[in-house]
Amino acid sequence: MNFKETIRKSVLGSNPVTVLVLGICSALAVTVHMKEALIMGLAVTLVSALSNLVISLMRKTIPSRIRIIVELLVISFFVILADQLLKAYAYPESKTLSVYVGLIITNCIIMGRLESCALSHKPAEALADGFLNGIGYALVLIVVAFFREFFGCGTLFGVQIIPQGWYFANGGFYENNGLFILPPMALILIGCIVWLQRTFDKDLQE
Amino acid sequence: MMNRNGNAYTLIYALVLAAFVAGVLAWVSTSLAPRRKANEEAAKIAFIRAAAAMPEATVDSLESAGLRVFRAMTEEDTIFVLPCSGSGLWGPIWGYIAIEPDTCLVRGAAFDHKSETPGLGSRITEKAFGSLFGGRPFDGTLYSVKADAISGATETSRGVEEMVLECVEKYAPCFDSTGHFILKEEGNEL
Repeated sequence: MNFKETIRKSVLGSNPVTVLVLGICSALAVTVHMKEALIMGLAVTLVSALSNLVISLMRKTIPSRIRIIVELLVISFFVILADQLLKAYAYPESKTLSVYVGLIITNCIIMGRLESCALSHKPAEALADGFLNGIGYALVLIVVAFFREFFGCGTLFGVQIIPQGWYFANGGFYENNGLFILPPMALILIGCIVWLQRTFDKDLQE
Repeated sequence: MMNRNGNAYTLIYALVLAAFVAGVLAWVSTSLAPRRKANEEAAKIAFIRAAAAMPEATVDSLESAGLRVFRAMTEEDTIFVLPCSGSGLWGPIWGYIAIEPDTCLVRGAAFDHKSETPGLGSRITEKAFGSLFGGRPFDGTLYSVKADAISGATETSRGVEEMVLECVEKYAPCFDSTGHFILKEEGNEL
């Protein structure tokens, strides 16, 4: 498989969130603000790429009966590592992400890539696959977080975009839409992305 | 090479891998511990300053009537900050309530949590939430929001209510009959 095709496939054609519908739980939870969505996306990308690489390197030694346990062990290793590093070097963000960093361990995207790619492919291919699937996940998170933060808080990356003077409180005409802050709106937005993607990508239409 | 599906190989493989992973993680955790602790301590002082609305204040820790009290000081202003703790939906929540020494009113409050839902319960850390308490008397009416303080976070809001009222009760011995905060005994500097 050539590289370009892999990119197109993992980021768009078989995007883990919008096509395979995996990793939805965290996509609903950490997309209120772009900063957290970005950090979460990066953390998942790193964990996914590295655990894909390690499992691919170990694939010929893993006893098949404890395959899943070994995969979980490797994933947990990287997730706890990421959590520790966040707590030491990005403390405020680690507080906002709270439980969701730990929950990367149970993110189906990573487990799915290990099972369907890392166990049967060479390290370089597995690394690329894990990385690109992580990017596919991060992209969806960032798009969703863009709309949620913009309409829900009037900010992007914490910077006020909607002028303060527009708000009711300051005599204006505008009010942030509280629905965008709540998890259901993330589901609606992901639904819209799925709809748009299926409209343009004929391969996905059933 | 041993049989990859044999019991001995499987067992040894699992043990060695688990021991290796545990070892590395324990080492990482220990070597990052001072940094993590410093972050937590800095966050605590930042919360106390936020509650007192004194970003430059020096903070020390005292005891009054056997209870822990924080003191935030600048050159022109001294304010006492009372810590409180309780439980939210998923884990512990805690906060700091700053009392005006002259008017006996609450100046402000700041809250934090271990693992409340991001975007819902976790919003108790926002400045707007803490400032709801500003200007209110430090008594049973301190928390007087009828609906959920944060919509969508019923349990966390209730946790805050319970915690705040418990704090009022607990620190009652630190107030004199006119409702002024008094330091019952000087403690040691932190």
